[in-house]
Amino acid sequence: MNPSLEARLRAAAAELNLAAVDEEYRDPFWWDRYGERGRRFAVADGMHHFSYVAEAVAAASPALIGKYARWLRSVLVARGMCSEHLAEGLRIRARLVGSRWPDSGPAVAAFTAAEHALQYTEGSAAALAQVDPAGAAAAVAGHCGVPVAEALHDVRALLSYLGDALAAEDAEIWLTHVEWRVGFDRRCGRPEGYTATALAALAEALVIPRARALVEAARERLP
Amino acid sequence: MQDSIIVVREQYLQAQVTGDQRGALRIVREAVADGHSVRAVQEGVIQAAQHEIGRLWQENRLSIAHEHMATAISQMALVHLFELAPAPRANGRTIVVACVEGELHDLPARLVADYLESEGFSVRFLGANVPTESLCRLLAEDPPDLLALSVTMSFNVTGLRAAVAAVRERLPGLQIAAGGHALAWAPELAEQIGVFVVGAKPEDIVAGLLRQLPGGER
Repeated sequence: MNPSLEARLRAAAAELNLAAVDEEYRDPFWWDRYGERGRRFAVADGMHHFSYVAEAVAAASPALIGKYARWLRSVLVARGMCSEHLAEGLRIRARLVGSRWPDSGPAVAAFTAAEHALQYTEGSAAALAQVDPAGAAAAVAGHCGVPVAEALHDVRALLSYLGDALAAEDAEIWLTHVEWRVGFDRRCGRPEGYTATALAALAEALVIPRARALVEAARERLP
Repeated sequence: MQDSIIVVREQYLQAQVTGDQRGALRIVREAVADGHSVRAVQEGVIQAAQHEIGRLWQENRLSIAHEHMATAISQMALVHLFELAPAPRANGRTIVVACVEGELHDLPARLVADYLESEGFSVRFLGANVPTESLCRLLAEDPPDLLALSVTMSFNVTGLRAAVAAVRERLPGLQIAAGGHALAWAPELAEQIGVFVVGAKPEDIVAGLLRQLPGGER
């Protein structure tokens, strides 16, 4: 008899999770910001994702996975990550699981439910989620001569930090990240003024007053 | 003059995060000497401070090491309070309190065990991460009136399912209660697994458990 999806998920979790972490760590952000120690945490946290998804599959309880995702976000944001980082990790795992078994639908749905639970539903953070990053990314790519996909990835991350800061009503979440990012740009060979250009593009694109104010505050702090 | 329980909690929390074991014990001892009930200190100081410790860790304002240090102090403080509590009148009910296999957070279960003991239950507290097979053997040797299982982390719900299934097979008539953060997150699990859940407040826990027993409250 074919083992249940829950059992297969648990059995394959370590292997799938390592593949997911390897993929996540292609983004230089992770090594630069957290190094080897962070990778160990990423592996441990990723295993928890699988445990919760397996439990959500067993219990047919999407509420459980949503609560987990929101709780984990609060833990990760306090440690310098953003919602988009967590969402990306969930998407990667959903894809890996989805391509492993033809009947993996409930597990993919649980990963997707977790990702959706990260969307802010009220206030400026929710409004920010409606902003299309493509325009700002195109401006950054054109001005700095980087591939559009790279610029889009970075603008999306910046918007995510901004959203987390607005939702938590804690400007430091955003300002601390931007400050760190300037050094990161240098270390990974981004063109001079890369983050400044991204912030200028965001200031241009954003009409949400609180979001704009935070972007302007960050621009003032830039060296 | 008696300090409010909130002031006591703040003092206790300060002692916890600085690792001041003797100070923490002195604070709970003095709170009881000043007229706070043992129950009030268990709930309003220890339990509330542990919630705050969890929140501080979540916000990255305390490390895991600090959290463990603080929790170790609370374990000690609970033992201290246990000794300070007046001896209860036995209600003739026996209950086993255990964390399911894999669950390492035993302080919530310890608190529940102490609440129940103070209400006259004869409590056998098994602590953290109790292997299902071992739990079944202990229950079969001397069946209690009730089993209470604790599960904090949702990924340990698997342990709860396994424990309930194994106990049902060995002792089909035994009432099983479950509680903890994992069930607060997904209350629908209780019905699915076939356990009953009691509230989070000590008086709700005690009343809820008594209601499940044959003959109800005594």
